[in-house]
Amino acid sequence: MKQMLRRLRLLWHALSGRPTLERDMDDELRFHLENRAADLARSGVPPAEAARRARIEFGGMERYKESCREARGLRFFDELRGDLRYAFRVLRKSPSFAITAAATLALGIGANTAIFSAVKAVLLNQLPYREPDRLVKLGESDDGEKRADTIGYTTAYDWRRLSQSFESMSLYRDTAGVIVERGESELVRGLRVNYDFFDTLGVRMQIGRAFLPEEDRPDRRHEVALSHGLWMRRFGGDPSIVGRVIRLSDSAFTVVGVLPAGFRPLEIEDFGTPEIFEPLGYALTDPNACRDCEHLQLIARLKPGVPAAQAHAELNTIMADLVRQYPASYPPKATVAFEPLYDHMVGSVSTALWVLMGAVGFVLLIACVNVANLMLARATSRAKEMALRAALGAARWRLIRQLITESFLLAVAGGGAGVLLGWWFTSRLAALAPKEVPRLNEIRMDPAVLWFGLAASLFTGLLFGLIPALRTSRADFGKTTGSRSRSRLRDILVMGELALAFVLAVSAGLLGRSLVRLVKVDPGFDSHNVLTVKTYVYGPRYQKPEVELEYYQQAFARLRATTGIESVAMTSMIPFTNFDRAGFHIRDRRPAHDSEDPSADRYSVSPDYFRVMRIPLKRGRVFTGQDVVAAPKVAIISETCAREQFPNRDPIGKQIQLGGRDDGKPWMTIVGVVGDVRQSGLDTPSNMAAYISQAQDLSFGYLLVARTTADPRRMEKSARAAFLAVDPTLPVFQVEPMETYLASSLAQRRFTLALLALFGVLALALAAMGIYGVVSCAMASRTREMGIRMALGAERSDVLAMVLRQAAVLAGAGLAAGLAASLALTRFLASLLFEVRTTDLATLAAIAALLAAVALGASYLPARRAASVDPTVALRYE
Amino acid sequence: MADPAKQAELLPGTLDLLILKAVSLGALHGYGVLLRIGQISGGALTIEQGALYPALYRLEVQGLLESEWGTSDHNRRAKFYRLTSAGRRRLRAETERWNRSASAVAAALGAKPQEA
Repeated sequence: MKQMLRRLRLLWHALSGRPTLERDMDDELRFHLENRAADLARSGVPPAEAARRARIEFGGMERYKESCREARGLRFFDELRGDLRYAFRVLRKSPSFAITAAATLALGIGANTAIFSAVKAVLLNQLPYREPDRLVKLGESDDGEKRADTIGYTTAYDWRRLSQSFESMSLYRDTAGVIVERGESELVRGLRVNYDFFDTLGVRMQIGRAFLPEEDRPDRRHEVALSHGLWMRRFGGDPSIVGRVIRLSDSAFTVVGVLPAGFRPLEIEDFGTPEIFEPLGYALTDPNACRDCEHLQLIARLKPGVPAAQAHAELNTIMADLVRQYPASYPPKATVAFEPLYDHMVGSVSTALWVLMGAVGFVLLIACVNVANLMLARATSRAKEMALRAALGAARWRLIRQLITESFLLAVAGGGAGVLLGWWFTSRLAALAPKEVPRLNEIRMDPAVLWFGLAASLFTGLLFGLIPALRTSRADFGKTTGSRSRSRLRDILVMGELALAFVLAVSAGLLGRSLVRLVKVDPGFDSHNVLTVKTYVYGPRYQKPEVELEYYQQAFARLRATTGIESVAMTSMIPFTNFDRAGFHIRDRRPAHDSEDPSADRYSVSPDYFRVMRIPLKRGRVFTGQDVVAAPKVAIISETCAREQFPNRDPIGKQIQLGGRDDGKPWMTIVGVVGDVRQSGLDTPSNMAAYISQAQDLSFGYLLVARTTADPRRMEKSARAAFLAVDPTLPVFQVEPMETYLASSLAQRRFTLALLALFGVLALALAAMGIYGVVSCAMASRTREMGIRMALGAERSDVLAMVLRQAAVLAGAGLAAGLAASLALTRFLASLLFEVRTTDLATLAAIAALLAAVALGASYLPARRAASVDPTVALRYE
Repeated sequence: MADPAKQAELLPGTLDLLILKAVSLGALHGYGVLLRIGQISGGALTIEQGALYPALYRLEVQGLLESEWGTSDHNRRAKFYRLTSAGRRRLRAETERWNRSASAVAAALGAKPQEA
């Protein structure tokens, strides 16, 4: 221990550059010499002779000093200090080289650090629950789909009862409530959860308690827990909130607990962040609890040590038994969708992020190659220095070490700047990234990210430093062979660089083409100049449908009188958000099992909906003001629905029913067929759709859609005001142009594409720099040759053509390698593409042409310079 | 410094042992170590003076010696070496080893023809 401390102290002295050690050694040796000389003088030797004799007896002073340093065991560090100081001086003497190299590296490392921070926040950070690896999301899979979505209460009840693999299983579903007290009425999103929901996640209340089993029953559901954010926002963080009664919509709830600030609730897709939590309060006797009432979500915690596969298999066995037992309630192929919670939350973005991480790694590689190239170019000019140092007795490994030290110094400088740059990139990334990417708001610069930046710097230092160091240190080799093999090496590096740039550009190209294809897809409606506003109707006053309808119609009257608003309508669902899928039954046609009934996206709309959205009418008529409760029930179906359910027949006049067979919904007569709408996004084909008249069934929540004559954003205020003027207690929220929903459905793709394109451009620019450097360096060393050629009668164009031919060979080889690499690598992109194959010829050809043009352009400048050299000057060169 | 006729070559590896022995008799500076070795060997052993210092440094790093700056007899700043307890143990072990092998070699060299 003591020894270690001593060594550490010595090491510190050596590294901190304090000259104490050297000085002490000098003092000690001088003391010896002086004493010896004094002794000699005392025995009669003349003083001058005594000093000389003392020196001779001592032996080779410098050699012994060196051995002393070595004996101290710190020679390595002493030398390192020397190397560092020397490297610093060398780099300072060629600032343009140092700055170019460090800036190139800073870009590469900065971009890598930023992307890594995103990868870490989204993919690598643990979910904020107790032992999150044991949490799984479960759902009923009707058709083999892997995504764990919804489940019916009774099915979940049986899974819980019959399985052995789980510690607990908790159901949850969406809910919402309007808070009016203290401020503007606000619709708050929430979850209704089983009493053990928070235990399953492993989350404790910050104050108060979670729910009790007896509170999770249908007859009493009067407790609520609040999120930390809501508690602070609406209740000022009041510590005595527990036990207080608050009103949510028109019911009274007692606050039993407040969740901690760090709690991340499970989110239900397209629903918003839940802020209130109520007991689920279901029972087997509930009409909503049936086996095919699939509208609940299920989260479960595996028992410790139980493998996921085993638990999944167990549930599948249970499910198969249930399907056999209740054939009417399940599709024959029903299985269990089983996803680790992590996959469920980040699954869709992980491919995109890993692709970006790979792409940005390529950029860093290219940056390394460029710096390596710069260093090789310098090698020529440093050959003399190296030869001199070798002649003075420097061992080859010492020279290599010196060169590597220079590389590391560059890498650390570049890395330092890169991390700063990465810091900035990271904040930009967090700001620019679409909110559709889960957990991206958790991006930050933390120690792990900084370590990553440091590691990346050191790694790059080694990567770009090693080859040039090995080359340069061989300065004693015959000069001609040395420079030839060096230039061949530089050619190979440039080809590699081009190949990497090609892969990146092709990836960006494929993604770009996908996006272009996607944007060209006709969504089935016109999202331009449409404003959407969400409404929420509650309270005893609105029990009667006529009153609710009156609320909308009064608002309509105000809106229609507003300049800038062309037409208005209500709908229960807008495209690109959610979907509401209901069983689709045709009168006098009953399949063998109810579970084989088809399903259709269901919309309850007011008459002008098709006009506002510009959904074309194909046959029959749209709804009118006469399609009211008292009138015969009518429905409109989509083209796909007509084609699939009434092939080669006229659907008009046929009668259909939407919902469960036993829901008692009325039979409706089809009066029209309208165009298809891509409800679930541009990349998903339309499902069957059926529209019902709002006036005939108001049992939905509604959104306003308004067609405006100008930018719909400018109508936000008047749209809200129209509703609030009718009833200020009803919340009006989420005022968004329809185009926002369209954009947000593409946001993740756009984000990936934008970054990939940025990396592609960066790669291209770096590659162009690399080619330019190599060609101009080659030209400089061949100036004399050019002069001779031209003196012998070669035309300028001949020289130009010769140089460009060589560059073309280089570029061709690079592109060929890039093609091979991209064929091997782009398959990782497959899931991100839309109607574009990874081997898309047009993209490959276009990118190849682009790269070839960049490569030739980058070599044209130095080539022209070479060709315009004056032969007489060139011959006198060197 | 010593009578050349009586001088003996230093066997490899024995310098460390001699330094430890010299220092075991009291703290010494580098030059003092040299004088002490000359004195205790009766001037029979010579070492190149410079070679002393790398050996001292090595022994210090190994923790067998410790050093301290102090003042010499002539009131000059000098670095004094002292044996650590690890050094003392090492000296004992090395001395035994040396004696064993020396007597074994001496016995072997002293063997008479009839004993072979």
